[in-house]
Amino acid sequence: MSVGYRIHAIKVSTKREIRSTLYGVGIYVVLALIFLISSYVFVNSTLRSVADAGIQALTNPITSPLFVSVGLAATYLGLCSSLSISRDRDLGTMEVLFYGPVDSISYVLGKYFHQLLAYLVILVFSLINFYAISLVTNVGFSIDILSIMFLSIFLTSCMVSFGILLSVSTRRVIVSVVLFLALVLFFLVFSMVHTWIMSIAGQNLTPTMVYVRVILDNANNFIKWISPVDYFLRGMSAVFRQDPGGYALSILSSLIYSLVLLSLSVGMFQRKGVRR
Amino acid sequence: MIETVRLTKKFGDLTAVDSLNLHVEKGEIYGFLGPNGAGKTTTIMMILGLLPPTEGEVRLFGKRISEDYFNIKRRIGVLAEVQYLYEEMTALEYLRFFGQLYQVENVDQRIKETLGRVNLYDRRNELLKGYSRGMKQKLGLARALLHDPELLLLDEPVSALDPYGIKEVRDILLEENAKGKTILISSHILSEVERICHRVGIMNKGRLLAEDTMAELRRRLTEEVELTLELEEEREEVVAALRELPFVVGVSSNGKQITVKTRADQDYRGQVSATVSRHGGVVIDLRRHEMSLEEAFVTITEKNLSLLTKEGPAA
Repeated sequence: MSVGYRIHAIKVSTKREIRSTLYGVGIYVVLALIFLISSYVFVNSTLRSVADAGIQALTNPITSPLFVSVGLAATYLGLCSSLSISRDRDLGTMEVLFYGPVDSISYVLGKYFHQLLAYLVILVFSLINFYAISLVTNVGFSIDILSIMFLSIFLTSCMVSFGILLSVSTRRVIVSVVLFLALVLFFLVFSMVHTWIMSIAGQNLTPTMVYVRVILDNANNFIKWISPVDYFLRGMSAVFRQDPGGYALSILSSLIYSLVLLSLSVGMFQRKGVRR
Repeated sequence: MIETVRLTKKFGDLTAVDSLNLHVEKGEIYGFLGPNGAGKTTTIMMILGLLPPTEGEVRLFGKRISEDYFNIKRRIGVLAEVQYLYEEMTALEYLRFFGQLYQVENVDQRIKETLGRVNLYDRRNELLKGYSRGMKQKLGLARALLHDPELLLLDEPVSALDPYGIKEVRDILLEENAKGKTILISSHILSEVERICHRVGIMNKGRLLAEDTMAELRRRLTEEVELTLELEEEREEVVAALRELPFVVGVSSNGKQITVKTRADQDYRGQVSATVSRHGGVVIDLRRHEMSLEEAFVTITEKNLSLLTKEGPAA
């Protein structure tokens, strides 16, 4: 019986939050910014290089702007998650919910599904946008794009769970936001540096750089499991390798990652309580 | 309905609530009193399961809240001292959200009734950020009543209201109680508590010092009773006769007005009146000064008196 009540509480709170998001301007401003930035990337990378070279053979010309688009959207929603719980605690509205039939599991899952639904809205607009771009520029709309878009739902799931965990862990909104941005930036920079250093041939490295490379590679073995971005990158890589098994594994590991982080969030939430 | 057993909450070295044994019976209005920092809100938060106790337990409707969390929460209505609202919503949207959360049947009809009771129905489409403190408090009460709960926990329910609003809320609470609802009120407006509560519990420094009906509290706190008589005309022999009565502690007179202090073990008004008549006096007014809840509260909390023993005050 309590499962039914819990599902009901999740549905009602998700509905209230998504309604508030859709009636607000924030999501549309972010959508417009995402389209502008991804279009800029598309024009400046793919189209300009085609114009310069006269002809180019590209299997996935929309990949770069699409990657930028889903990356920005997932980061934005992760950011929203990172401030959602600490803001509710700060405003006191969380306490009022807990006077009634809402428990820590339904509350945390309500926040999670709200952000995921918001992402689906963004995804629908993105799909229309990229389909329109492919029609206008005649670059083609491959199944890979749809695969990446589907995969991005799980990237968002990881980002949102990560944001929720940070929001539960901190009491102040500003701390959660700064922590979220700093960690995502760290993961991105780390991933780029790691990729770069691993791409250099061993004989071209100084002994110090070899040492740094070993340290970074060992650190990567740990970070790749805690960085939400890495789960998406592994899935993208599977799409490009045409590896359905790797693709499915990336989705499964994203789901496990989300589940672990959400469970940690619920545990931490129960320990911290709902009071301001 | 509410039972706490040795309920204790410690924050580091500070004991906010100390071995609290609280009993609120079904159908009663219970006044939960105490000065600021006495531990009342901490207790209410523990009753609601929002703060875990350090020791002891809470039982609501005979069960621990963890045994039947959702069903218990659906049977409680809560009004906090400060109203935390979704200010971007209208009152209608706000109550509709909570109506859905509590799965209230005929929710729109119920919202109409509840908002009507707190006189906010005409303001139902206004954004909550434009509401005054008093309106927010009344909306909070409407939310607490919306799902027709069996138990109401109200923390300072009238603190932001004008006298008209206070009367409105008092009438609503009495109506709810007449329907069989149990109500726990924590308030500093002692005159209101005295008017509507069947029993009161007084907390100080985390401990429950007294828990009884007002009449019983008065009886146990009062050592002397003051009677004020007004006679038709001044009579010295009446004053002298009153002084001779064995239960009289002191007498003072000011013309036709006489003040008699008696022991508090029983009501001596009849004997005082008869003595006056026997000595040719005519009583045109006789008043007994009763200890108010405010006086009882101040006496108990200032002296930190524990009245939880069966007989009389004990420090």
